[in-house]
Amino acid sequence: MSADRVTWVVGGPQGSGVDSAATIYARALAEGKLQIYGEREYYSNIKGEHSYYTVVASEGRVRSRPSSVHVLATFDEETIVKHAFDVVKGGAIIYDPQVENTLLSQIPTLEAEAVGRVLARLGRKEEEGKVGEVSVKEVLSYAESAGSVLAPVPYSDLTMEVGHKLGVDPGRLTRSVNVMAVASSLSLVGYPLEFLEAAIQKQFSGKAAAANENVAAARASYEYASRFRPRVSFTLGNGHNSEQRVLLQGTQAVALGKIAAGGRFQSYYPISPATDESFFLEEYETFGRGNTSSDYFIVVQSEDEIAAVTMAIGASLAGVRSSTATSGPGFSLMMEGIGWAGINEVPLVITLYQRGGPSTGLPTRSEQADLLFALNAGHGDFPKIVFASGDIEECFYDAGKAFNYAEKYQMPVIHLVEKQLATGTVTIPPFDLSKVNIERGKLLSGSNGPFRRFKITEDGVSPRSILGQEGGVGWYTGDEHDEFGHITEDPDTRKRMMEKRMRKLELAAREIPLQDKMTYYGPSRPDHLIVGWGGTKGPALDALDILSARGFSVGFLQLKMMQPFPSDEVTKVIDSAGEVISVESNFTGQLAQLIAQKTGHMIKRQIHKYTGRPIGSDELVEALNDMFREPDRRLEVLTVGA
Amino acid sequence: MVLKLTDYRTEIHNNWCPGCGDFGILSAVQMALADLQIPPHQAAVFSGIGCSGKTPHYINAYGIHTLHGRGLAFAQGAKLANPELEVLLAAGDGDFLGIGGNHALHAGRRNIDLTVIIHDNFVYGLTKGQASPTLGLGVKTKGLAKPNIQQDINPISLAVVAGYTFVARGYAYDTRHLKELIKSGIKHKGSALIDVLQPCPTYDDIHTKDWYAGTDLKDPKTGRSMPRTYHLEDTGFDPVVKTGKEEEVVQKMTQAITKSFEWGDRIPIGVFYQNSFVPTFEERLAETRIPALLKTPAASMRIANPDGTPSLDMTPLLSKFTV
Repeated sequence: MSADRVTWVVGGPQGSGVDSAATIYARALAEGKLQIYGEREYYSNIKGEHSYYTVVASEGRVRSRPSSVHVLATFDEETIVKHAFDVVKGGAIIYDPQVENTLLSQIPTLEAEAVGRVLARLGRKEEEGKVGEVSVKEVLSYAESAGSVLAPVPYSDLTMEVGHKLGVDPGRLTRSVNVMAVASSLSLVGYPLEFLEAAIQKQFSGKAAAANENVAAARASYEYASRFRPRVSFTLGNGHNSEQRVLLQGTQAVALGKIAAGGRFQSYYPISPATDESFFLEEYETFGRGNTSSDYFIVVQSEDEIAAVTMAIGASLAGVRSSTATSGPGFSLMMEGIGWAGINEVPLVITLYQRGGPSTGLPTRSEQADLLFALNAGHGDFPKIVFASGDIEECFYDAGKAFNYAEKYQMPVIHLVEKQLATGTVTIPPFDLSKVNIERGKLLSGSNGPFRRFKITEDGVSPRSILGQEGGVGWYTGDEHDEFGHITEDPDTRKRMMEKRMRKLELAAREIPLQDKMTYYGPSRPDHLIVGWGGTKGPALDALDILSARGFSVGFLQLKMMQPFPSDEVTKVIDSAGEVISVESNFTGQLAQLIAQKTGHMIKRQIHKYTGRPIGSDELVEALNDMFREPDRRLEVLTVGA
Repeated sequence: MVLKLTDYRTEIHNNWCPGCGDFGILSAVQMALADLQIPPHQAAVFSGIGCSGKTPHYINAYGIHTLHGRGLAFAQGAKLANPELEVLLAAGDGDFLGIGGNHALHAGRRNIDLTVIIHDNFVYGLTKGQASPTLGLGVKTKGLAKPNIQQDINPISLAVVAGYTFVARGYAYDTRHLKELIKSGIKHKGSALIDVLQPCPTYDDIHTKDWYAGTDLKDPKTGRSMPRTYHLEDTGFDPVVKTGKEEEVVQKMTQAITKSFEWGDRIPIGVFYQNSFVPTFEERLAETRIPALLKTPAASMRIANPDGTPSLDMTPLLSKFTV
């Protein structure tokens, strides 16, 4: 049977080549015109802990990760015991036969709780002193009895064989095990080898020897694994849509969006999972043109996030589109800078990659628990724009829009992204640069007497000068100030300045088009309305398709703009629906709280997930299905994902 | 047109206490800007929080009164965005060495071309006289309930070790001398730090104007007061690194650190250390990676076509992701 979507999971110890395997796999599928959606899961660790990558492939667009796996490729025992139970009937598990006899107690990184879950699945009671006697083989046998195809691939024998054939040291080929795992996986589902070979050639372009070795290793393992193919129930053919696509991660989409929109300065302090973006910007600081480029991007690694945000503000005062990127703990340190930018009406973009909180929390996992924090960032009342991207494609365009909002309304802009999107990999249509529109807002031109940087205006926005501009000398202060920027504590001036600043938010609310605030998907008067934001968009839209096919009348409202909040429009959609269920990756239902605050509508039924793993489409479908059928259910908590 | 001292003054009411050392520092900065004929719009004076923080409001130039301790970070961002700006920071001792200590330390690693002037009066004035990081252990100023229980930081040594390439100490009431130090700091290519001793007449009854003037120290022969501060340059002290060789740099740094601990009846002021061989952060970027940085400031880079579309051709970059 040809699956509509094939889900592949590759896992192993951190540092064992899981990421590079996933990259080559994704490229091989892209070569065959398939579309992919990938999620990366890893511990806050450099080497040794369990990491895995899920790649979903389809001829059509893929937006989320189902919980069932068609092919599981493993580099170690832990991957087998943590993921074998997810493999569907007729799916396959690829493993090195050397690991079969390992006991669970011999896997040092396997948590006691995970051992307990394995024993429970095997129907074994956890008895004192007996836990360690369960072997990987028992897990495999269990999976086999449940219908999975076991595909032992002896990587070391194969590397010896290939090394002998090529006349190279087989030791060199141990680096090709990731390619071998990919080749074996593709072989099992009958995906043409030529696309993998093309992907390898591209991956190793300019390194002919490495390319040849990897192609040879791929061929040998593809051939070897073909013996298992007849028992595997799923096949994966190449796609036919020849439209060009781009394959990239969320942090790269944000970085490219910033570059396109004219961002030219970013200061940052290293933090997972935000750092990849700044690292990318630094790597491509001359935009791939080498050092003769007249255009460039300045990236500064600062001593802490306080410096990161304040350096960006300094650069913005000098007239550059400036930004910083961070995650929860770093964002916590940025509060005072955000407030200063607020009272001084400085354009400032902060990309906030949400991870599991509180405190250090789950540094490499995903969560949507910083929404209310972002909205309330900084002490005192000041306007800021807070908005969230729903997928990686949106990340690109939104990164650019953030600069427009910042400069037109002269305020801090917090662009919310989640770890799920940051490290996710997708194929999407190439970016349309004609949709990137750079608007710099009111700027001082010429000079006419002493400059009033904070001139009271009807819409609240005053033309700004940039440091160094003749005729634009003025002052900035975190104190309340007069039109010139000098300190004042005069009650009347205070009142007028406060009102001037806050008016800008009303302007933004009027000017920002509705499609940049929210999007509704589904029938005009749905029985069930799902409300969500950020990375919930993907699984929610997939759930929508499945549930509609089951005959439910269901719609999805994706909220993007959290401030200024589209209260009236949200109210209209809510009022048109039979009932409302919110779906969020946090404990307290933060969007539901915001909706209650802004519209007065209390969403009484909610779905939450706070394991740090992204919401999968299957689990969401089942949770919604249950809630649709049982009107008394108030809360569902999702848990899928290792 | 010749710029006059008055061109650097503002009409703002100055609310520093009468007799505050900050007045001397303010005058010295204004005189230095006038001497160097730096047009007000090309200078950006940053500050943090505290009495020193108000300095930019009294200078006719771009003035950026930032957050407690963060002035240096704002200043570095601005300088990198537009290396043509003349960037100064009016810092406080608590502001710079206390809450801003992390920024103070790490700026030395970059050596961005800017000038830091520390208003060093040993106390937190605006919060009514708590001990600042430069107040010595066991010292009890009149604003303190108990003697200071924390040891002091030596700003000169710290700056030398952190990597500042111009390190000096001035005295707020030796205004002409201070003006020359500030001018040298501005002309120096790299991070310059000038620690300025500044009496706080309200909260510090120890480091007073009279104390610096040595009214308690009488020359036994003449019976006249013996000022505590003296000019380093008058003693043959040579702070300047001449060859840039490591051995010489270490020798000059060590000499500066040793000298910086001289305190009490004799307090040296002047330049302690200067090394022009260390490339600035801007130069490092321009020399190794982005030659355009010093030709076109990021602030002047064109980013949009008249129709608002990006002016940058993204093709080479985007092609890396095409599949």
